[in-house]
Amino acid sequence: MSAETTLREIAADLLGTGKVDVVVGYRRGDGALVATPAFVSDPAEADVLVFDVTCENNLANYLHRLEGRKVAVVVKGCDERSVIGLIQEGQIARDDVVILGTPCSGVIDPEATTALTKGGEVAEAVQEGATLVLRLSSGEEVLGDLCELIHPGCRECSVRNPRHADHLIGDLVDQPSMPDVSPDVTRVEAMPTGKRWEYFQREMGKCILCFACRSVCPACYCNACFTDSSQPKWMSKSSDPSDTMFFHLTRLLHLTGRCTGCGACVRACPVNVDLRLYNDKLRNDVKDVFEFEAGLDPEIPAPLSCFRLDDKDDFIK
Amino acid sequence: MTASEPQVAETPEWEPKIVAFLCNWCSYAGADLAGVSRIQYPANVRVIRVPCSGRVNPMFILRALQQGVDGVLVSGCHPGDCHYLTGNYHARRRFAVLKRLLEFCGIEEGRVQFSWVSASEGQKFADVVTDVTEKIHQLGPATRLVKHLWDVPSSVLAALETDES
Repeated sequence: MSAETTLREIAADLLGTGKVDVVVGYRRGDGALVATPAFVSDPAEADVLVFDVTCENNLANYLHRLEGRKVAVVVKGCDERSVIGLIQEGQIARDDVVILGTPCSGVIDPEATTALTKGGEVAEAVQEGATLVLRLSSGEEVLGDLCELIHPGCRECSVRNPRHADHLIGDLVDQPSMPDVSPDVTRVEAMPTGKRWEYFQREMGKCILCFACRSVCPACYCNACFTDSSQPKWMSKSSDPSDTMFFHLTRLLHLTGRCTGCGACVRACPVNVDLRLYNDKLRNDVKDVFEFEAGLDPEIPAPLSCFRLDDKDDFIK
Repeated sequence: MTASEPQVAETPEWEPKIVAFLCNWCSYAGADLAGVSRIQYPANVRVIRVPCSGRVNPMFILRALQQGVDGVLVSGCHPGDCHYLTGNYHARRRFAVLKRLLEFCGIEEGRVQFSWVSASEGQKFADVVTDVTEKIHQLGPATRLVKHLWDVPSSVLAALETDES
């Protein structure tokens, strides 16, 4: 039985027996390579649900908006960490959410597939092991190595298999071991200060303050964001790069010990700001300084909401 | 009123402006002790009194840098001495992340500094301020993260003044 069939059956059962009010999953979107969020509340409609390499959205983002309802949510290993994070922060109750965990070897990067098909329209995409078969509308068939086509962040993923799933959809996948520190972070850390500043300036210079990174982030659930506050006016939205930097630095600080590295912001960014680098740096620091990784255990509080008497303070005079 | 160039006094030697966020119960009292004990220290710090080092939101520090200060010093009670018992422990965690993040983004090390100064450490306060001022002197004026939008050209200022008259 394919994973998709299992998913549909479980969804129909959960809805039919009244265990959940709504199933949040994916359905086919506009085009073979687009999956879009689906909210299914009628068991007869469970057949619209899909799961494959195109399901990139982090659906945990919808959970706190569905608060008060019993929800089943389809999550990859990374998205599951966001769900655990929300439970840990008291945003949702564990009993109100049914985790439908899907093992995942990475979601595909539309830019990579477009480059592969040289812009040709894809009519159908089928995964065959480690190969992605793309059938174009022109009738042509293009084969791609899945490892080359997935998002760069997915290549460094250390949570391919969900750990807290109530229902596991599909078979577990191989989990390659990953370096503790992202190679990109090590590379930038080795640069002289001036070069690091140049890189930061260049990346922040691209940002158009559209706040897509904030909108897709399951951890950015505040009703009143500091960016929208006018009293005090923390941040002005001018064209001055300093304001953009202020936004991104504060965003990172607010995500300290809360960012799970799901990469939703990286994928949502319309101008390809290297958010992954800065998120990775933040997560490395949190791991290094506080020995904490977000979204793995709902019982352990986030590092900035607790402390230890023997926290390192060698940087304080 | 005639339009004229705004006169800025030319200083022969650049002196850094440093913002110091001092907690009310320890470091502010430490600064006070340094004062009443007539201990000399550089006059580069502008003190902002806060209830606790835990009150210092990292956004205060970023905002200060945006507005063009050359250095920021945050000082609070020693661990275990917090008037609110745990404020400085929380602050310590926040600053550990902030410091690493700022340096990763290319803000010079030493631009933002932290210290623990108790109410009885007047001499330590003077030493810390001397150290910080020396470090900022070496770094030179802040340029990174500084917001330039309000550097209005003198011609525009002149036009504005003419309009008002």
